[in-house]
Amino acid sequence: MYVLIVGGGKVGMHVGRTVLEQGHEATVIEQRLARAEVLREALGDVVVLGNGTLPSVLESAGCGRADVVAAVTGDDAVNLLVAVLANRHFKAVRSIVRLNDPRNERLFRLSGVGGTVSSSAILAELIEREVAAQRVRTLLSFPSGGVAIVQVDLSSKSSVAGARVRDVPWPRGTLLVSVLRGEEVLVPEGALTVRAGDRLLLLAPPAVEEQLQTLLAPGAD
Amino acid sequence: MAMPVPEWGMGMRIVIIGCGRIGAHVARQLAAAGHTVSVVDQDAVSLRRLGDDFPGCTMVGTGFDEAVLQKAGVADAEAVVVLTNVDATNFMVARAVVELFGVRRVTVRVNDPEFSAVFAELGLKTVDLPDLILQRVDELLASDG
Repeated sequence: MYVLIVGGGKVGMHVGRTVLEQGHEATVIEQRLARAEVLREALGDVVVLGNGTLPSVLESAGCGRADVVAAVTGDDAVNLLVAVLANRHFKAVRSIVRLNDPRNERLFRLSGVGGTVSSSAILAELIEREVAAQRVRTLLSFPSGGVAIVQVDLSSKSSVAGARVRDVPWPRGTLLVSVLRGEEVLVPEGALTVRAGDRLLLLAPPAVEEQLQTLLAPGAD
Repeated sequence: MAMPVPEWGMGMRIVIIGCGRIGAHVARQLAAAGHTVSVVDQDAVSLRRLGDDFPGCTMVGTGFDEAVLQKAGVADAEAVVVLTNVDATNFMVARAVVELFGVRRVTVRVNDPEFSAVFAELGLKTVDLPDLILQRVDELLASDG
């Protein structure tokens, strides 16, 4: 395979090294002279000095025969133009495009550029998954910061499962607001028995979140 | 001098992206000709080129940022002129203006003549400054002096 990489920053250098280590052919186009020298020392004679958006530079770097064109500069405008040129002008087989600002994704798509890779979008997704894995979720924080509305799904491992609301040792400052059981919304009277699987909505100070987790959703489910 | 949203007045509604010497000149002349002009540049200092008496709206921001273009009034513009000195930026701004706002009259400055044919191939109207200069020189050489 022949991989043409536009942009020899940290990302481009890493991609180039990986491709070469896997026994493929690679070329890195880099505009900055000093950076091109660094790349040449690190990767060998696979560096083309020039502006990778220029068709003549892409041409001389073998864009026409590339299996993959990776546009990985820190400038989305450059990456977009490279991808469009690779697709339409050079009919490259595949392009991979680094998206620096996820807000530009729609414009890339409308320009017929797929295969975008956005590190910030990946990070956001990881964080979202991490947050979802947490058992006590803050639904709403008030600006004063003293109290928040949190949601906990009552675990079968919790000692509270099967207990009456009035018997639960709620952490200080906590108020049970509502219990959601399937489609039902239950009023949290003292006599109500909570069950595993109930979704509890509580008013609670941020400081007791860990206590709530230990009490209502201990261990990993 | 920055107003949040342009108040469209007389003439045609024109948005200019890029306020270097060329962008500022074009903006001032169009405003003087009675058009309603709004100018976007990523650098607030560049917008000072327009002078304190510039009657149009100015906006600091990236030319391909949808929110910036919206505030600059691109949605209601009859023409957009893209005049930064970076070809890749001009291309992306033009794509944004066409794809996100459906503006039909768009002209793009070409800095490196190599892009003239490429941009045309990709459906953009261009102003190729190096080529215009070359044409003038050719005319000059063909004349009697």
